Amino acid sequence: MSVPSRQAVRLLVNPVVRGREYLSELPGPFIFVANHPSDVDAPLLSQVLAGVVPRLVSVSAAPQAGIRASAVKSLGLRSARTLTAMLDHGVSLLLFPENRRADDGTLTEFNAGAARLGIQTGVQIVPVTLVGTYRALPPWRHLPETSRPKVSVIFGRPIQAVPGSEPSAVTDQIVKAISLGLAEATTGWYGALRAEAEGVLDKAAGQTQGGGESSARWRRIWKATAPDKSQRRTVWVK
Amino acid sequence: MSRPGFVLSVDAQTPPLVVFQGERVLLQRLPSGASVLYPPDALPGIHQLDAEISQALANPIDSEPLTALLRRGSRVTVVFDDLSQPSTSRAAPDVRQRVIEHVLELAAAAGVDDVELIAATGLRRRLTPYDLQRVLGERVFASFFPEHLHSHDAEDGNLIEVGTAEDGTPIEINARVVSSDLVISVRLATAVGNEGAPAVATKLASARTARALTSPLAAAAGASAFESLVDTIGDTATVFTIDVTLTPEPTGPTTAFLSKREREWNITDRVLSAGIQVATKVLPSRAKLGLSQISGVGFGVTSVLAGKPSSVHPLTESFLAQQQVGEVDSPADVALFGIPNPNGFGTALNPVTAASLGLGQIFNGQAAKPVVRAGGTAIFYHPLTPWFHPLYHPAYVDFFAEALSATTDPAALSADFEGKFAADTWFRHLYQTSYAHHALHPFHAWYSAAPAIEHLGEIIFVGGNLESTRRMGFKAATTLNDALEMASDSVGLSPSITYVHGAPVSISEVS
Repeated sequence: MSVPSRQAVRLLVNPVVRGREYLSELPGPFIFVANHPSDVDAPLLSQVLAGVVPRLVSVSAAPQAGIRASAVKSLGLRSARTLTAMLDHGVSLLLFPENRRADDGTLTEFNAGAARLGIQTGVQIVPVTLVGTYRALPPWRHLPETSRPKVSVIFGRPIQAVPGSEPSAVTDQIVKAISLGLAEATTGWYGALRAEAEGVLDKAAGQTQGGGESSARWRRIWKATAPDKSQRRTVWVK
Repeated sequence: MSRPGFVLSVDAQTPPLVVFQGERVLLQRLPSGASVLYPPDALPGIHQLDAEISQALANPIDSEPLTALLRRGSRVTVVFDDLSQPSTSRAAPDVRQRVIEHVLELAAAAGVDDVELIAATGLRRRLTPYDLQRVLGERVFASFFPEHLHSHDAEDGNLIEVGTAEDGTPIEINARVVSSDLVISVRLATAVGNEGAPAVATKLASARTARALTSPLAAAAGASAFESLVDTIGDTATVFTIDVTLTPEPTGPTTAFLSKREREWNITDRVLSAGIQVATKVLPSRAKLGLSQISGVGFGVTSVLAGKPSSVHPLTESFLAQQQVGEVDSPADVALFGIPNPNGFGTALNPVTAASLGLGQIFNGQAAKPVVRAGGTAIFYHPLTPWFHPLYHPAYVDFFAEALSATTDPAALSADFEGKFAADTWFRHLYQTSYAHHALHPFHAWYSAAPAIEHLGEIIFVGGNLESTRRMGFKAATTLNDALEMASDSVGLSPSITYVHGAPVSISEVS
């Protein structure tokens, strides 16, 4: 399936951006680390970051087989050396470090590559949460629905990885920040912060998603694509 | 340190100077020999605001860090400045949002659930949900509105007496604030005289208290009554303040040239100026209002200080003093002021507000001492159109029509009209449930102008509406030459003239 272009994304979805001000004051480059529920994610983020980051390269999950896979492997396009060179040249990176894409858009396990790159280069890691992109463009659709669905792009505060720190610890920090963004959709911003402080963030974040691994696949997809009630147009002012 | 202000002597080579007149910007040629007072250039804004806020909260002045003050289960109230202070940016989040988000992140981590946010409106209008969202951002708004985010209500029964003034006036303060463990006050200031009293309680008092302490008949000085309420309010509430200072004028590419010195204008500035001249001539008045609103891009943040209010306030004040013009050698016979419409308000200034704002410049202006001598003449540029915002200014309409047409003397106004306005149930209803200023607000605006009226011999408005100026006891002139001619009776044929360049420093104080 083809990935929609940046211009198409501009026309097709209505992004609500939060936390972009954290970035505009800092010198680049950054390593953006995002969850990856949908194909619209990479063009959406490059659209949202257009005014903030001059150059952005997005690195999606590596193709597993076929000619593209062997080309990527032989040229070393995803190697740490190439990515470090890009950062050295002031190019920001957008990484989707989930090992596999869940069929219902939920968060899966992260690999430690992004954290390792951040530790190695000292470049700030910016956790990004994408909410609503799965609903806007689920894998079986080619174009988002026509109502310009609302999607949220939530930037967390940049994480500065200290040289020598454990990649798994930094990855945990990133996952926590992304879960905080997911929890914001259900419990509100302050509710999410409180949940984080109380250590019940996973539960709060899980509510936005398919409802946990335990439920049946159809139920998870059903929940993930449920219409956004806040978006319905109403005649009467509530 | 920015480039200091200076005084220019007008000669034959001096180009016409920028003068604000409501929504218009005039280019006015001044008579030879007049002095022009340029304020210092604005300090460059802080670039890394997030880092600055974190630093201020972690290293407060004469106080423990905020993280140590926030405890699990404590009752926290965040008090923030309303739209009497400008919003700092049009596109990016307001600085109040930035500071409050930092504070709430710390509060959440400390385990605070009982948080309430109150806009310190005093007797000004409540903020609309839209205003609140614009000032605090969608995240804070969605998390707390409407139960835990609202404006102060000076007429609410829910006010607690925390003490008495010297003359026995009870001091009643917002009950939520008094019953809190920690009150975090987020304050903005653009210039000296604009940073308000050190005590946050002045903006959270009841209408009864505010009336008693501001009345010209009252013996007690208003500010001293709140002296004991600076660092603590009531028995439990400790105050932690976060003072943010802003550049005195909006900074942005489009209108930055208006505060530049005219001799230094480059070709782009000249073209922009010509464009504004044409636009204000051609456009209808509503569109002109819009023009003045897009022109201000935002106010830069110059400092963030946090800590104990009684320690932070003097530091803020002295920091702001750096942005002031130095001493004026000798006060002039005639002073000239331009009064623009404040941008971002969505309304023109009503005549009472415009007059009190202009006259406020005499004592709280850009110079440390009044620029005009006692008995001198002040010439203001403002149209004084008798227009009042239908939602915000219902009490002003009656004040202007009834009270001011009977008398302009503050003591007489206080004795004859204030009580009637304060007791008016309709005005109270509009204040509490709609978005009207309190019925006492026009009185207090007028009282604030009274010392300047007393100080001056004559007050002339160039381009002022004849009816409005007469009603307020001033004079109207069509041009500057006419105004100087009218003033010649009291200041002679060759008076010394000082023009205070730029917008009034406390332009936003009037909301």
